[in-house]
Amino acid sequence: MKIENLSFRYGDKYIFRDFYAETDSGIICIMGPSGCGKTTLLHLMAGLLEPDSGRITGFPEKRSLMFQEDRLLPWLDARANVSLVLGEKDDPELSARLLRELEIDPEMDIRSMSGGMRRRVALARALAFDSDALLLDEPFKGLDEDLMRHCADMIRRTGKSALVSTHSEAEAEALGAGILKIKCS
Amino acid sequence: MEMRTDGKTTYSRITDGKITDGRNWWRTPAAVLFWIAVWQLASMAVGKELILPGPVAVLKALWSLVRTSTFWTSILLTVLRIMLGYVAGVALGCLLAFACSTSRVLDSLFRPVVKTIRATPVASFIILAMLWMSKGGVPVLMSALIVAPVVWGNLTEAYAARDRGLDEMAQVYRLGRWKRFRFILVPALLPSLRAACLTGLGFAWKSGIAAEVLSQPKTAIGSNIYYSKVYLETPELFAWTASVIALSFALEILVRKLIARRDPHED
Repeated sequence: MKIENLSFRYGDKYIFRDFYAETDSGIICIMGPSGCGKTTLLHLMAGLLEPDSGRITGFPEKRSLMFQEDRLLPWLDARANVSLVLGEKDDPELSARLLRELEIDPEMDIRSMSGGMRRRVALARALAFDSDALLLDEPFKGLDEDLMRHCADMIRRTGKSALVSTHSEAEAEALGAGILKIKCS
Repeated sequence: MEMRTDGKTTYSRITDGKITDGRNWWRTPAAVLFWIAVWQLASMAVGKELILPGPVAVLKALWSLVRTSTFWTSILLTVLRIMLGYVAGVALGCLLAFACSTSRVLDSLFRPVVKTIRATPVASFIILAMLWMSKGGVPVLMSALIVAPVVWGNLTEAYAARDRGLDEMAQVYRLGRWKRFRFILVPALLPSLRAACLTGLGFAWKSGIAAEVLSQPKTAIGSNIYYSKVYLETPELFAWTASVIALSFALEILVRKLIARRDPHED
């Protein structure tokens, strides 16, 4: 993946100015202090934000994004939240299978879930979507180490390229990921 | 209300957001009896049935009315007119809210109209409508005109305040229009629509009866209220008014049941 001369600003404040990075494909963890632009980079890559200039190449086009906030639909149960992103040709049982693998009851009401459970539903949704690459914003927030390793293993097994925002080197190690460190200017 | 007792303590539960207590079931009937007593005393103090009839005289008048077919046909036609206007008003409010929320041009076009309708006195509309249409149509139009802006206001505000993060989620996961509408927009707006339906019902009922009083359709509660006033039959006036209040409560219960939450996961 290559990020060339990327510039982006909110109002007058530059988040990236002529940012350049080049990494191997596979799983990459973006690390850096809070507010340095990790989430912004993921949103730029998901197409939710338009860069002022520059380009990102070498990363598959069809990307699913696991948001930093879960962005689940509270009026649907876990299975329906995941099934929502399935296409007509997808296996309808995929959502229940993924949720069970993540130790979530598919029929469970979202509003009665803990933060860690919601993260896993959001992860199941990102994994269920028919994408070529994953953009994961702090996917293991609220998970204990065993669950974190289990989720990391599931992400690795997809074989998809992934860009993962995290603060933890242990998470990067569990994912077997390369690390892209960014600093605040 | 659900109530259990173990012989020592009476347990109560929260119903419709109110804490109910098994020991206080008598409070509402007692309050009603208290106000009926106040009414009786006031009537005795005034001493003129023409000015303020007592509860017994009103009950007698009501008993005479319920034994006539006019009473029941008036109630039936009034309810039909007002509910027709109410349903049309809810539908119109939804359509206008959809138009204003999805198109800036339509918003610029319709917003001032809806706001003007909301600010115009009902009486002005009634008088105008009497010039334009049949007497029976006036209460229908009034109910619709009163309800539509309430529904429009609630829905446009709820649409503007919706969670934009869910729109981004829909964009990332390439959800189609139908999925966005059915699974994101409708559930997000439904609580506001429910609230508007309940508020609008009371408005529709009051404006519909007022329209009947002024336009006097052949068979209608409002017309009978007007005739009671003209012929100085004050107990009948009270009896018709009591019927209106009872019908209003009954319709509210009915609408509440119709629009009650059905999906256990729905907010």
